[in-house]
Amino acid sequence: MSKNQGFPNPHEIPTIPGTEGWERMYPYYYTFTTADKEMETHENNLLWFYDGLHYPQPMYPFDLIWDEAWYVALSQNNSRIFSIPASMGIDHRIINGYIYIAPVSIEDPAIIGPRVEEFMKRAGYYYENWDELYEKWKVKVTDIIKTVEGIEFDQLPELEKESVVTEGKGMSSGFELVRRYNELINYGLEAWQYHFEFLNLAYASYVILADFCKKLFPGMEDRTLAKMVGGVDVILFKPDENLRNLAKLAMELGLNEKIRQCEKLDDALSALSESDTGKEWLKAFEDAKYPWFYMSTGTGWYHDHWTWFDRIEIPFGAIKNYIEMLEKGESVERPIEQIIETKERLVEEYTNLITTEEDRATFQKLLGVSQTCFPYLEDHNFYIEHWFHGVFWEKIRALSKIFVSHNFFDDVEDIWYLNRYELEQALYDLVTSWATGVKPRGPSYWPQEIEWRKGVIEKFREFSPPPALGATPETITEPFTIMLWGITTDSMNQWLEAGTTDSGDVSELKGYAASPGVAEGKARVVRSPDDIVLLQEGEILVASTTSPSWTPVFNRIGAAITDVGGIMSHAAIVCREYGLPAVVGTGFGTKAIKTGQIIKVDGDKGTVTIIK
Amino acid sequence: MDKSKRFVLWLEELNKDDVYVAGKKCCNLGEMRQAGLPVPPGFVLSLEAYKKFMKDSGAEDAIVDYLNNNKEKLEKDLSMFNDASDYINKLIADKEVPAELTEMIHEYYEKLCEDCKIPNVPLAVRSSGPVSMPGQFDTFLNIRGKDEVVKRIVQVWGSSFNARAMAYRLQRGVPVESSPIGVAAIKMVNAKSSGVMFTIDPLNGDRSRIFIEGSWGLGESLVSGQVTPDKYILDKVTMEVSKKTICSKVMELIYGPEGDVIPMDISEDRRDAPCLNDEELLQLAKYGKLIEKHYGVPQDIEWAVDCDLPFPDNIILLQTRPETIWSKKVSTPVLQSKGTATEIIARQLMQGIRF
Repeated sequence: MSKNQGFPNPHEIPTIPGTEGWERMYPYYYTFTTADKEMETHENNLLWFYDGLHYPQPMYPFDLIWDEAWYVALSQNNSRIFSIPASMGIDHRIINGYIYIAPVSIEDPAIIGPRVEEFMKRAGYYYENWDELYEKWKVKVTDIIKTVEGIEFDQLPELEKESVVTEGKGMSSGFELVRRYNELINYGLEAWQYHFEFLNLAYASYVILADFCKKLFPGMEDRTLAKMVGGVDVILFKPDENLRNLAKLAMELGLNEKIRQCEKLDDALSALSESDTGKEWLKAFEDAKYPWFYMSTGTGWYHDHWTWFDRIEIPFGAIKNYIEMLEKGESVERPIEQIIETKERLVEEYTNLITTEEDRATFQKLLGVSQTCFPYLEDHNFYIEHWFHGVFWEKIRALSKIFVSHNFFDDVEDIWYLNRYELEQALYDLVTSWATGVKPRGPSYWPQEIEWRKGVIEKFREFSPPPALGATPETITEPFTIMLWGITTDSMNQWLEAGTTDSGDVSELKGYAASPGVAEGKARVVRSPDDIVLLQEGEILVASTTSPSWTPVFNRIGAAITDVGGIMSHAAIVCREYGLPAVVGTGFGTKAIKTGQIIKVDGDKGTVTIIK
Repeated sequence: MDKSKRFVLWLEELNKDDVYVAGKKCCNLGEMRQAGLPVPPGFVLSLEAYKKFMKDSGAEDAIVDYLNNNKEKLEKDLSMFNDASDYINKLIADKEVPAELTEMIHEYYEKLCEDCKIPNVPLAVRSSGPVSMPGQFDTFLNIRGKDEVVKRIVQVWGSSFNARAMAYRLQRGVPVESSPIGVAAIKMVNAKSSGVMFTIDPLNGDRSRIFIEGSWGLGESLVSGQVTPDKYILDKVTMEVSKKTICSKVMELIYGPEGDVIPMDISEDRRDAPCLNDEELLQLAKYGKLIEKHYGVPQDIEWAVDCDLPFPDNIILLQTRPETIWSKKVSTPVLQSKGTATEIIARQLMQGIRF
């Protein structure tokens, strides 16, 4: 499998000066190694690509938990649960704070053969009982979230309540604290088990359908197929729909002007609480929050991807924006009927273009499965990455307050510099000290370690992770790699080319034509979710990756460009829905483009041109 | 009045079954016009008109006499048909057109000028035979004025007596002295750009694509390979552009005042500009889809954009015929459809996917 060594050798990436020893921030098995020769060969023979889709920033030690979670969860569903014929899992490594992943395929037909039979039984069961299993999934995931919502981290008492004795409880608040922490972590990992329960099969069905369609219609675009299988009643759009409804209600109640004139939500709260109609609107606003305001302002993968609850001005600003649109007589509705109509028409016309009866039958079968599976692809992120993570980050912050009060950390936000194993140790240190009455070791260890780690992470930010490392395979075959990350033989070759030029000098970028149309305008490079408020009307959003929770800004922008992502990335889905041109997976758009430059986005050709 | 008895008809009065009324080209254009496609307006002279002229003017008798007198010579030496052709053409040109026909042609031409709102509207006068015949019949471009139109129609009739056509008729045992053809007199297109359109991708047979090639000026520059054309590929269902390749087009062909074709250099700023704008491209593709739907099979179409007309009337279709290469191939399934969706997915996952 090893081909020309076009990409850097993963073992030869230099450490950034001043970050020596960074490896200790992460689990030992995450680093590339030369100590184990067999492992070194394995690492050299794989293509490792930078997972900028999920990790546009360097990893905080604690935030690595979700990577650990899906490292196992995705892999086991391929390899051990559903017996996907030619795929094992996806291997992960970290280098200079950035995550690289490598699909592991099975090439020996003698191994693939017996896996097929198992796959048919197992995947067949899921495909046939999909809706029923998915309903169960929603219940169990919602149950976990509600349970986690109920986990409280309380300050340790000087002396336990007498009831501990009178009720014969036999255990302490200290132990309870450790237990709840472990429970929280385990629920997190469990939620991620479920995240992949359906995902692999859903992607498999879609990828096979896409491959079949490419055989029938070599020129057919993925975005067209996505429209044929895409759901209509998608949860992804629900939080935004609530905001539109609140804008409409404001109009109906004649509160539009009042709300529009409020700079902050607090101003609105006091201005509206005086009248009955105001109270009605405020109640509707309260009712619209849960759980929808757990929508993350980012992807939800990082602790600093704040939710709408944390950044309440974002949804409030969006409501005002919708009110302005309504006042101008513009529609704020999603064109639902049109979406359904288009979907049906595309399916019908494409079916008619198929020339053999047999292929028409195959198309119907594969399309049917994909249509069944697709809502999961679109909806699962809200449950896990937004709602669950939102709650989870809140709980970790509550725990951090206890550490702060025991002088382990200077600030609540310091907790992210410990990984989950270290945190368990630190907590045990704290509880032991509480139990023994002897001062804990943590306060003399963690603050200076955290200070050093902060410096390391800052230095990591200056590092530009190469798009790929290791061997260049002749072709990319792993379905998930292609669909989710947009990694194909083409994009790989392009990266190889780009590697030889300075990204600062590039005047044209290529990517996936994810949503059609052409737009020209001023670029706005958005590096963190907090920057999205800076976006001005008509500007072109340039981001490493986008989040569906940015939906309200899609009303303002002229087009979107992302560094990472395939046809099924969030930016692609939302732009298609909003009719905005989008080019995704450009590799280094955020590096080549500067805010304020005039750029042209061609969503038909998949190119971005820097004009001046 | 029965169509087959009429001498002059409007294009749109003809459909694909009228080959023996006015020849293939006229029927094709008529059928397109009936389907609501933007074919240039015009009128046609039927086979009956040809026969009437030949008979009433005395041309037919004169030709029969000439051929009988020279029968042996012609049968011995086919090259003698060149002399015969010159003689017959002159003979025909000197004949008086029956007044009834002249009046009708004048009447139709004047009506056409009125409809186009162009006085003395320039026409292309082309032959339209009912069967395929070797030997090029004449085509006259940029013809203005009612008398000039009549004159050129007669010349087209005369061209049915070109040497190759007569020799061919002789060899096949069909009467040499008469081969009725229709004549199409249609409004000239003042082509800003032109090209071809396939309602299938001619490179890979993808039926979901519309493939368009175009260049500035007349289509001949494209056909003769003097210019690398712009290429556009659209999705036939969504009508979205999937690929655009704009080439540097250094020259174009335009019509001179006599209807002759003149090559012209293209200024630098126009060379790299697309020869179709997005609006025109979409309209053209819509017509492509409509034509395919009408004929039921993928089509190979000639088109032009007229610079005298406003959008969308400026999109003009000149000809359509069935695509022959891919459409004739017997389709075989690309995948074995046996079993459930899961079985199909398993079979495919086993093979791996190569993008």
